[in-house]
Amino acid sequence: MPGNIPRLRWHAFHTHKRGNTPDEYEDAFAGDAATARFAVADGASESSFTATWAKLLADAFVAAKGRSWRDLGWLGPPRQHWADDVDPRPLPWYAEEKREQGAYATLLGVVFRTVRHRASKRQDGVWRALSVGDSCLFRLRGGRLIRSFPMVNSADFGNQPALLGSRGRPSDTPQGIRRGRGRWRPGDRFLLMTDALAEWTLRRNEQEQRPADDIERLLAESSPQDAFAAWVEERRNGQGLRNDDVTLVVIDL
Amino acid sequence: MPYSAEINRTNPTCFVFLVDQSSSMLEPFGSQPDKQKAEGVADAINRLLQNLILKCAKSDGIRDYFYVGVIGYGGGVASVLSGGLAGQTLVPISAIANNPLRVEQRTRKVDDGAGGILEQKFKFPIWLEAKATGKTPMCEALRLAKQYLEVFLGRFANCYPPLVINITDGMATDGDPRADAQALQKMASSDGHVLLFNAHISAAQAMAIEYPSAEGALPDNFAKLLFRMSSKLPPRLFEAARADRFPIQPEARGFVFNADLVSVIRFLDIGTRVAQSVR
Repeated sequence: MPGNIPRLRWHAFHTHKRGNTPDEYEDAFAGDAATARFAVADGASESSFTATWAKLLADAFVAAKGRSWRDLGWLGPPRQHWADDVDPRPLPWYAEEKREQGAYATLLGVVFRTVRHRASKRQDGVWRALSVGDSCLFRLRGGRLIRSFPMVNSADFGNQPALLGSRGRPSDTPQGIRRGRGRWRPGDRFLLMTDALAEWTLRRNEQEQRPADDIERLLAESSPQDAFAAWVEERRNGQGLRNDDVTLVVIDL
Repeated sequence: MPYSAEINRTNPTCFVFLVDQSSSMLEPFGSQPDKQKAEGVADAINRLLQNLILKCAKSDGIRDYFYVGVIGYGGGVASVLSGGLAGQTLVPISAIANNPLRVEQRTRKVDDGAGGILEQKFKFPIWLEAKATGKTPMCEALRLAKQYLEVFLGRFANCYPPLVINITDGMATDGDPRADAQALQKMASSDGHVLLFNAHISAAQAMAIEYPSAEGALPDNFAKLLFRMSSKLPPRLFEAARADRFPIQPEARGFVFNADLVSVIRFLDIGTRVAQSVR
């Protein structure tokens, strides 16, 4: 996307599924303020070598040059990297079979730019996003949720989202790709989330519970990073946040 | 809502497989007439165990989401776990994974992505060999399964309800199995009643039937009896079956005729699913 890279600040938060250990966290996130590219990925719990794959995917989207939301040429290197990492390992029969099947993850990647409006010479903020599966992007203005992508209703989440596999051939077109675009204004906040938190956000919003305020309160804590796991646990216990790995990326423009 | 408990390592669920090993299993298997029913049953149970294990396999090993028991009924009624698991009743799925009798190398045909077919080697672990001897004491097998589950439910009172999967040609020789089936289905965790699903392996060369909701289309009285003994699919399993494009109707039951129940394992929710299972 032609245009300039906007100035922004970003923070990421994550915590693992209750009952699992921290090293069993299988979401991933990546971001680069210098290129204004961000991604979250959610490894499918039923696949194997998943955390590695989710992290490779998120990193590769962010490191890609050019129109990574449209052209998927950047998928080749992380697939090769994953295979180089896991294929030489000696494994018991079951882990070998799972490795053969490949690892799977959702992906939500977004790129921010400013473009100069020809007639008015005004600078417009634009974003472009690539989505496979149910990780979500939210745009907030003045504490109100004004856009979500690609999921719109909390009822649409299931346990079989579209996924990107580590074993795909370069010629394969992944199923379930969605592309989104929109505008942003200075002062807007974008949130990227993996599915459990995204589902909670949409449901609370449907119930007019202002989930953005809730997230605002978290970010206002003196040490939001330390408070995040407890904040998530409270919502698991009292507000029906599904027990799963949780990842939140906050981008302030 | 019942049947919604999370399945995890601290709150696992349980599978008890009942395997008909009676002498009637020497007859040819309807869907593959060159095989005996006993071989069809052994293949079915080995594939079920393999799929259960793969569902729990991660890069660092097996997560014990399931406890498993395998009861054979024929010349006797007893646990047929053997090798390193001989004499044990319910064991964690990791113990099954690490103790096959042997691992065979088999081949399957796969699409090569360029319009051709490729032969791919894969490992097929064997836990149970084909066996066919004696009568069909299905009632006694159901009662032994009940004993297993009493122990399991005593330990995991809030588990996703245990599943009992009975693989048989349907001819119980120790009475009408319905009373014992009902006694099993009356047991419950705080999340719901025990589920009993039946796979009917028949000599009849009839079309496979999966998860019917009425007995009208079933080919014989044994199939009808097993259908009546089978639990209805709980809502989430029903929805998962629908999502997998099984043409099922409301009131569908956990019953298959000359087909396997591997799909049930796919339907269970332990996290984000990948749309495939191993044949």
